[in-house]
Amino acid sequence: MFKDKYKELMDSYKPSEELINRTVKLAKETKQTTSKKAKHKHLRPILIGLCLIVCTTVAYPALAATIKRIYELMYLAPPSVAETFTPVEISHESNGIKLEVVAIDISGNTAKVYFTLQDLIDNRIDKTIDLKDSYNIEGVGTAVCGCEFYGYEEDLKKATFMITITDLDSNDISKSITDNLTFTLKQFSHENQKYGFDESFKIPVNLEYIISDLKGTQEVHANGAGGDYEKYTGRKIFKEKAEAIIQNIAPVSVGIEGFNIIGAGYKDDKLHLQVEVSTGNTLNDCGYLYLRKKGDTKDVICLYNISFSNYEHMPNEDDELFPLRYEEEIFDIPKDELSNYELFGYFIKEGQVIEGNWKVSFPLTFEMSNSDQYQKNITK
Amino acid sequence: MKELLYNNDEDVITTYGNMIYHIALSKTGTKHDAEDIFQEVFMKYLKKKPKFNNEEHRKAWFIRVTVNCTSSFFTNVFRKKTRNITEDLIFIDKEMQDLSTELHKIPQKYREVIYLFYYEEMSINEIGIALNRKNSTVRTQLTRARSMLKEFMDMEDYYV
Repeated sequence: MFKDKYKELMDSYKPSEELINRTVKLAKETKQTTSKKAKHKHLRPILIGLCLIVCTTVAYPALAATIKRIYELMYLAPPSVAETFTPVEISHESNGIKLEVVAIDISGNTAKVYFTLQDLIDNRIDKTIDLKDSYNIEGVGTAVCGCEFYGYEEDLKKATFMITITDLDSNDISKSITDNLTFTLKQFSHENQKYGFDESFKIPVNLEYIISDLKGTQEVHANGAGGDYEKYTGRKIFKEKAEAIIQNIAPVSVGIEGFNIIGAGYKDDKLHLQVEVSTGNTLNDCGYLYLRKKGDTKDVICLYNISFSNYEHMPNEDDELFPLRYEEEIFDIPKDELSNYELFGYFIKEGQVIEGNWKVSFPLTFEMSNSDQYQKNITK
Repeated sequence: MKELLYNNDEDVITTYGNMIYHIALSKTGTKHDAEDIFQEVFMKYLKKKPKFNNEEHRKAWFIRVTVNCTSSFFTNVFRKKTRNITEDLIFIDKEMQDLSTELHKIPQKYREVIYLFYYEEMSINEIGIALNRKNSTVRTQLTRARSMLKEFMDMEDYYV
């Protein structure tokens, strides 16, 4: 079982004795340092005040003139200190789309940060926008946070999102989060397009004209299988490789960009139809075929089907291969009756994915426009 | 619900150390980075001194902070272009090495779900709370991770 193997693997990794001892030692030192610091706690506000006065009167004009040097300082400082250097940036434009933090609402242990996305050059933002998991929020420490769609302004083509940050220990959030928050977004997409679900989606092809002699079969690693797969093939799904037909016809579009029939023919008196999904999004885009006798309303579904791809794993940054997904369905329709059948399908295509590199950084205490007023103006 | 069982920091470190190290290692892929995160998490714990109602509460806190620390770790300007994965891991056998290699090919956010589900034996709901993700998101991530690790999966692994 995977579970047992995985546990065995993880159990072979343990923090070393030396690491534990070092951490325990640090714990003891931290205790001592904390108690020493507590004695001088009343001096800290005075020292910070003095430093601020000196900095603003002496160094501020120079810093303002050479603001880029702040970034250079970041490379000299340790990571924990660098975070506090991050300049406040409440709006950022990437790929012609502007992300802007527009309001912050702090109430007890919860902070709500509102930001908008507005397309400055096109109409790529609508009310079906979905950030998925491609955002990241840094600097929240031990608090939990999430981001949700809040509203859409049709006239401005502007979508608003709300980040909620909650300190589960019920502390005042403005005191428990003192570092800058950094919100980054890499991509977003739109609502999926579905075909064949609300009403039948007829594929404009004549089956008897597209079928051709098969060019043989190939062994593939199936991502999944359905119907009576094991009964008809005698193979165990996941345990053994699956058999799929090799492309034997020129791609025939099903009527949706990125979905083409590339295999159609008979093997052992069974009709094999293979669809290639070349939308680039092989994780969520898929298509399934079925037949219907002309003049009939009854669907004829496949005996079994298999799904496979041209890569074994998820596409990632290192993959140079364009990901392709294949769905093959096998029907029990005699060849001489094929002219009596029409082809239909179900297809799901994920909405357009817009990529960018948006990043804003700000402290929770940053003064914003009136949040209450802002909320009233948003169409929920 | 387990009452608070550990009162001193040493006991807490030895009790939760493995879990923190595992989550950090499963995400970063190197012992060196996992050790850095291990120390950072405990330093946060020691400095913040959070109050817990029970051990489940403390465990959830450690999971959340470890995941947050690891995410910040990867986006830190000092971390970029530095290390590669699995360069300093020693494997028991070839099968384990293959499993480890495959685990590091899947996205980080799926690795933590795999760890919490299969090692910590947490339910989808518990993982959702700990990672602040919707149950449907956790379920999807688990399904995708399983699909990517299908070579190592038996049928019964899909029903645990």
